[in-house]
Amino acid sequence: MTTSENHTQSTRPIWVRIGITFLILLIAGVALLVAFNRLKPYAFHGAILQSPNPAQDFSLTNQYGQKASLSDYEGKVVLLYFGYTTCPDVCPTTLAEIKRALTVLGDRSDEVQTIMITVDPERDTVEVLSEYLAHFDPSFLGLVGTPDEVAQVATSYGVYFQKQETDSALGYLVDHTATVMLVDQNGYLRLIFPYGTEGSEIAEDITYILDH
Amino acid sequence: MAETLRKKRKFHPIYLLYGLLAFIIVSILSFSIFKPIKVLPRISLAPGYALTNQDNEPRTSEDYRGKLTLYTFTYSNCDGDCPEVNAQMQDIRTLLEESASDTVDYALVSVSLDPERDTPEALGLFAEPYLGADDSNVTWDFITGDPLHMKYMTGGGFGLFYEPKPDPNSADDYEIDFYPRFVLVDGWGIIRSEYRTAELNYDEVLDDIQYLTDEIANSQGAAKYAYEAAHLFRCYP
Repeated sequence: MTTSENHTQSTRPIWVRIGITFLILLIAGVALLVAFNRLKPYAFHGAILQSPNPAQDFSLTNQYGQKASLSDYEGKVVLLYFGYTTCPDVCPTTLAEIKRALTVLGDRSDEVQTIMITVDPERDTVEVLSEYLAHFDPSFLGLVGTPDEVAQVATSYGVYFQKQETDSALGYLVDHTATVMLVDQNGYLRLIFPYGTEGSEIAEDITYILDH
Repeated sequence: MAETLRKKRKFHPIYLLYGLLAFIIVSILSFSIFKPIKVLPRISLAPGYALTNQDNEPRTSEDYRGKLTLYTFTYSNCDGDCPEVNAQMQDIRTLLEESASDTVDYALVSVSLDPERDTPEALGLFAEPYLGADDSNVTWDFITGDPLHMKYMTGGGFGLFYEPKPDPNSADDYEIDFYPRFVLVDGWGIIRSEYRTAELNYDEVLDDIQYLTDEIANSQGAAKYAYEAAHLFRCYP
């Protein structure tokens, strides 16, 4: 029995044995690659937070004149942005990138709610916000409150804002932190995207969060 | 001939696969057990603010983006048994000046708990004995501003409770009741460590700052994955 086994083994041509070895190494290599891709932590484009507490809730007025809270959107991924309508470049660029992210997400964009809270509550009335956001995406929500209410929400989200007088016809500008924040389906602040993060990168991160 | 062939069979290529699998499993296990890289948790977002410093210059949370910043809380009328946080911040500053890093800047910020009385001028007088020469590579600002916004910042954002209470020695004076705290914030504006103490353990703070400095230095390329893995496995000191 043993001799016959040895016999078959020894009659196997050398190239068959090399072929088998090569095949096994190939399978092992592929398995390793798959394992690495599975085990490798996903590298988010935004900065990650591991906050043990849910994101601060707020209640402000939306562009349709109704009260809206962060908690209304539990179950959705919320992209939170602080900006204002007369903002010359940063805000339109950011909102356009968010819009691009939603386009990349396609049908899954239904699982995302974009909220812009105005840092210029004196000029950004409900009507102004409504008209402005319609230019970007009908699903975008614009929120406004009293200056103190807005200041409280902005502070808790690490956002500063300050009026800057200018000579321009637009009147004053508002300097503000231009990050986009991502609150996950369970209401936890998970990611902060710096200004300049591309829509496709935001979409990748959202996809990961929706899937995990 | 048959003998050599049998010996050869012992080195079946399948063993390579087993070896590789064992290697992966052992690496992952040893990573989670020995925690070769230490990281600090990303606790929560530090508050945003636009305030004024002791030299009447504007200071906002954006000024500290990209820097490792140690915050503490105090006020200029603080007397007697008030925790001596200024001297501790001064010590930390000296230690940080010595261990200056090429990859990241360090900053110190003392936040006023009594903005009603702490005008920038009052803070200037309060800070002067501690600030020393201007040429330090570790900036140190004392900041004050609108009391309501400061309440949002300190009470809301940093979660520090404080309230005025009457001074037993004088009827029209008041003190601020608070638990001393130091907070370490990274360049993203994320709180990475909190020290709820009146007496800072300098070694602990410097170690934490070193962990963050290392993390920033290794935030590119393959090392980034090791650091993300360290966060995943909660390799906290």
